[in-house]
Amino acid sequence: MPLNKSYQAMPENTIIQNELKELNSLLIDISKRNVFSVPDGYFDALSRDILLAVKQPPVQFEEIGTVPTGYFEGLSGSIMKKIKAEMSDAEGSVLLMGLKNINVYSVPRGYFDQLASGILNKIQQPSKVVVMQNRSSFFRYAAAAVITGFIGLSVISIFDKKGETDFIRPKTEIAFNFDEAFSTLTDADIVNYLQKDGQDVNAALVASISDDKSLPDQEDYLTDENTLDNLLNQLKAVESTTN
Amino acid sequence: MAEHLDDKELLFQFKIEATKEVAFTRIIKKYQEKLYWHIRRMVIEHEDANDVLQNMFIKVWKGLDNFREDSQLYTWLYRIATNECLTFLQQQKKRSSISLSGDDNTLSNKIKADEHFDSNKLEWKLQLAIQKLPEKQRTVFHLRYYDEMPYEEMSRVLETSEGALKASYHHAVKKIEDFILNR
Repeated sequence: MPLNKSYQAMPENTIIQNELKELNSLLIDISKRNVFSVPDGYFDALSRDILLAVKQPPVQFEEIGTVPTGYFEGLSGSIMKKIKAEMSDAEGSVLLMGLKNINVYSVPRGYFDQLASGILNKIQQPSKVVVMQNRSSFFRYAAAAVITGFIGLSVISIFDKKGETDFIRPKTEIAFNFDEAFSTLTDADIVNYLQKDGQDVNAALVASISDDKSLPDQEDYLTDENTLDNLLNQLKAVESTTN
Repeated sequence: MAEHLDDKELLFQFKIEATKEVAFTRIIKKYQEKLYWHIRRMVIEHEDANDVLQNMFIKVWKGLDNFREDSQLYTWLYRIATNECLTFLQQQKKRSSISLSGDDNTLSNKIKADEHFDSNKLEWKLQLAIQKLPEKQRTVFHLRYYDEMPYEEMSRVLETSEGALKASYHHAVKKIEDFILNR
């Protein structure tokens, strides 16, 4: 395929060259030679080819969705043929085909000849009747009484031991005992404990004065508008005494 | 010769049933090379260019009766050719992204596959550099640099302002230089 002739220059050429000069572009120095080529005689035949394409009858969309004549008549046969072909492919392993009928196991000689008669003989034989001896009912009651007594004693002993632990004592009882013990402590004991443990003593005392028990009732806020101020003053007074 | 016939005369002949085919053949012959090379530079391979060009002229055949002569035939043909190229490239990009390779350098690879390709020659480096441009910037560059189309006319082809086209062309020139100098 020979290289095509160079691109024809147009009147705009000079303007474009000047534009590239202004841009100081190296493209000015690159040849505009057309590097691509076309097959010989391509342009001579092009208009004829296009006219042929234009004149081609449009695609008949009605034909879309039709099937070849006799398609459904032969469909089941062709499907079965494919299924059989696939099955034979699956069975087509030469190795497996060769091994298919080899049985590695064996039975005693004449086993199958005697099998049916042997089974029939077993069916026809009268089955043995086992006679159960009568046992005295006194021993049954005695054994049941011993087992029940043993289980009962075990349960009592377990619950009796656990009764001594906190595990089964009610939580309210634990809380009550804690409150009782806590109420016997003096403020000095609490301060000593907190100082020893590095806690904020002032905060603890303020928290103690603002305990739920010392807070005003909801109704007090309604009846006396100074209730909140009084409470805050009280807290400040406590804070100043502790400092 | 046919190439010297005025576009208006050709359009007039096309509208008469008796001279329709003759007029259309003359229109093809008049513009085929310019349009072919415009398309070829965009799609690179001759087979693709031939497909796009033929499809484009089939659309022209179907639409020429409705062509309003308020724009030039030449501008209208370039607009159709450019749109066909961009559509083709978009479809090609989709196909390559669907394929396992996901190759985004299809056009560069096509250039390198050309029997005349020579990586040492500047004009081939230029072709590779052009393919690195975004599609629309590439179109602007081709129309200006190779087709030497005035911005005013290009503005009608691409339906973009002259200022935007000028900026696009200047950016393209800088990018191409950068590619050639740094690769």
